[in-house]
Amino acid sequence: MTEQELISRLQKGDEQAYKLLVSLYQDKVFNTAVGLLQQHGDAEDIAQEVFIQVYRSVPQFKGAAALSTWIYRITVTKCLDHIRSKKRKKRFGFVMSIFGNNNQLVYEPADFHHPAVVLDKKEDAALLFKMIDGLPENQKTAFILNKLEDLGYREIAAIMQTTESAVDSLLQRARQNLKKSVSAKINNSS
Amino acid sequence: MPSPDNQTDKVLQSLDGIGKLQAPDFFYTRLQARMEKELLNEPAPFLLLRPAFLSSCLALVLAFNIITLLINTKDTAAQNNGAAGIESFAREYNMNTATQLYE
Repeated sequence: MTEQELISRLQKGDEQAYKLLVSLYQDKVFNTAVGLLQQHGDAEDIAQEVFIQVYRSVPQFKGAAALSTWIYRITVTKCLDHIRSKKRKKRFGFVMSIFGNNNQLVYEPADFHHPAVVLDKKEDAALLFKMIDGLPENQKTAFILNKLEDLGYREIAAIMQTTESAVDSLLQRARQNLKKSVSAKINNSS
Repeated sequence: MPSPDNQTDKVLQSLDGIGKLQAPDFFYTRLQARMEKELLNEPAPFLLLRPAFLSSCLALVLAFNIITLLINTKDTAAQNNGAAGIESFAREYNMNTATQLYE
């Protein structure tokens, strides 16, 4: 079945087509969400939300971008929204704890161990993920899509609605920032 | 012990060739359950905000306006006719219809 046929069947509300769409894209959506959120439970929740959003919005999908680009874009937007909302809650919890209205602890999440990383690289990868988490949103998105999803500059540019040269610059800055922060962390601990 | 520079490079290369994760088992089943829960329990849009309701209200208001306008135009025409009739009657019998309160 071609992508156009799949889209038109989805727009007619065909359940089998929807099932096929989920089976085609669930791994890509989940893998991207894990990379951006660094939390398995949250990643599964967000992946479900992405497919619910796809179900709701597919009647308005005009086909201006490829289906995969559109789904990746929804995934990235949902993940970034989730991260922002978590940060807001964390800040609010911190403020409340200062005023003594709430005794909830503001905890730092444990190191994230990506299951696909080989055993001898686990510790290094955990440190790198911690530093990736500190990158600005757009650098983080470009880096994760490039590193974990193996996407090329053109695809990343389409997902982020920017140019290929902007993606190149984002990735370069991301690498420089990561190098700086990793090196500072290593120098501090040695 | 490796130098800090080597260590940094080792960390930066730790994600090279990383495998891709697969969605958890029964992802579709769980998604289906969530969709049924969320989409079926979605509240219907408030009656007053439904486009069908809003457009029929608008049409009703417009119809009332048009009817009122038509009735008023007819009344004014009838009144004008009435005034003209009195004046022609007064002229016929040489009567003065003007009020002369200050004379």
